[in-house]
Amino acid sequence: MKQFIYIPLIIIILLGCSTKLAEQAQSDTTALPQLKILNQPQPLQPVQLKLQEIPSVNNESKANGKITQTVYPLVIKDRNGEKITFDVAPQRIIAFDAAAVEILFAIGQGSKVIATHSFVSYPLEVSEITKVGDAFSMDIEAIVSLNPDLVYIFYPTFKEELEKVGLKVLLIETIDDDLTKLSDHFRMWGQITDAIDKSENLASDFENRIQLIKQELSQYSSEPSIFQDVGDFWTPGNNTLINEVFNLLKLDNISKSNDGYYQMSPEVIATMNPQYIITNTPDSYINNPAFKNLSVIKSNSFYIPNNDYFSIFGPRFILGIEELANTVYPAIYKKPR
Amino acid sequence: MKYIVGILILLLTIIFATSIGSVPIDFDTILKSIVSKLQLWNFDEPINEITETVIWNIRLPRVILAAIVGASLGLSGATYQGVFRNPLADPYLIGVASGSGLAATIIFVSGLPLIIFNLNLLPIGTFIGGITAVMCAYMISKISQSRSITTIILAGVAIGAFASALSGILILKSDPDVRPLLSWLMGGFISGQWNKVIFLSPYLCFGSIIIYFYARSINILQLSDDHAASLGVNVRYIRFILIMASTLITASAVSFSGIIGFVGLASPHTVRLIWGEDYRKILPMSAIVGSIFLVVSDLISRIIMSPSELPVGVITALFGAPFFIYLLIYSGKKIK
Repeated sequence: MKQFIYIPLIIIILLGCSTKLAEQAQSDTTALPQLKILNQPQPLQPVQLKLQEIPSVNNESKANGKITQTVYPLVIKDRNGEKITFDVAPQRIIAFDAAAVEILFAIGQGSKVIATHSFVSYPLEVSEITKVGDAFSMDIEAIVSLNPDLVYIFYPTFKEELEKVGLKVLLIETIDDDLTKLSDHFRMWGQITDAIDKSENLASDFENRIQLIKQELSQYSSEPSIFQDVGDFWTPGNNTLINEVFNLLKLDNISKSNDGYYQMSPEVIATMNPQYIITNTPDSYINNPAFKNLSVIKSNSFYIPNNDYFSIFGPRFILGIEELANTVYPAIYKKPR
Repeated sequence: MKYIVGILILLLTIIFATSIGSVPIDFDTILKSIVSKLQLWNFDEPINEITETVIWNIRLPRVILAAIVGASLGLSGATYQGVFRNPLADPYLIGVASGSGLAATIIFVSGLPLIIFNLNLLPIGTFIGGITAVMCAYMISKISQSRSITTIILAGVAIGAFASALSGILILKSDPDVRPLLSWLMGGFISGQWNKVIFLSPYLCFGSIIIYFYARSINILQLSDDHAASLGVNVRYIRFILIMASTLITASAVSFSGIIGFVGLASPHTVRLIWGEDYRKILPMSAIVGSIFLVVSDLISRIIMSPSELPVGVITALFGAPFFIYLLIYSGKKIK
């Protein structure tokens, strides 16, 4: 048993030596001056717009006149082309998706949501709602015992199981390519739950605010370069929803050369020197000698995003977009409304 | 003689790997940079600062880190194969990978800031996790008072499975942004920095000196325990020292690079196929071969889908396995 004393002793000595050496090495990279990170901007108040002022993006709804009530039976096509028929508006919805829950509450149908998964936290009312699963698993028994008339999921793993026990399942995978599909997604929920006017408001508001941004930015021709680090240099490349946001805001995403999410080489970050870096951990850039030449450090251009806004593709997504626009183009948003 | 050639090849590989990357840099720029850093010659026009940063603060520390980790894995793989008399042994045999993985999962899932009091939490935690797992396995075999070497292996496998299962549960029950954790688990040198190189070196030096001191004894350990004991080798003591030293090396390497497979398994076998069964030769050459292998794998992982970086563990198996198979077939056909 004596040998066991030697081991911790050796480890402690080694740790001591290495820490000393490492400290010396670290002190060589002289400490950078204390920098203030760009603070999260105040959440913007949703702009009340008169619809007549902004040219309508979606001409269809105007052409058809006012449709305020869903006509049942209603047929909805999911992304695979399968058709789901609704004879009446569903009254007991299990929405296994944070965005869907937010949308339903936003269009006044929150009371219809009887269960969701445990990582939904907005709006505050959801703390009362039953949780029937977490990120990767669903409690099928609990779901069945709640007797829902619609189960909404955004990944296909459990679709067959749920249908086998006789439940009506709507599977729409997360939108990852086209911003404009988001407003149609709002409209879809309005149609399903017979809340067309509210969902139309939500969708039009979204489209109008996007249109407003496009108008405001039309005078800008330069494209500031930007890089988003979602953790450990993972970044959204081409064909991701975030990249679409960057395109909307006339930002040049340095990761656009490859598709999807991937790990970006630090060499490329250091060389391309993006004007803005979106990250939750600016310290990992400030304290890293590899990035000492980055202009974001000198100009304080780190942006710490509100994670909820950017990752939940629901009613609050527009707030994320507007916050980012406010950060990159503060000149526009100083104008009084 | 072969050691000198081996080290030369390693140095050339390091220089080669430093000159290639996502950002194209001319070879003569690199030479100029080396020469001016070493103060051998002062050039009139200074080299672009960003290029200097890329070479000296991004590429070189990363390449050297890969070399050190490769040496650690190769050496400890060879040691485990010798101590356990098992050609299938790799550095993760008795639980280092699962222990470190569990520690990493706990750290990422708990949402603790990765830097507390200027200490990098992840390497410390994963190091402790790896060592703890092996200590548990060793304790189990001690308590069971079994004389067989397989007890440690089986205990290690059990502890490893248990730790992996716990990691799995933690990942499932946590908020699903697991990308940083998964990319750590698959291994990589994307955040290679000089302080990591400096931190890791003492472990490799210290561990390799201890292991090499007992190289001759490992040769004798290849006989059965009784035979070895009758030849004067204190089997249990030496086995313990060697396991602890290799685990130290492996755990420290894993804590800075994640879990990279195949290097620890294939390097010793490659060396054996070419240079025979003497551990006094196998140990140092495994370290050198492991180094070269991992530096090249890291290079490929950097450039194959540039600027995206693939996990090194994928590359080591993808490119290492065919080469290894070739070596197996070739050495079988050789007339000895």
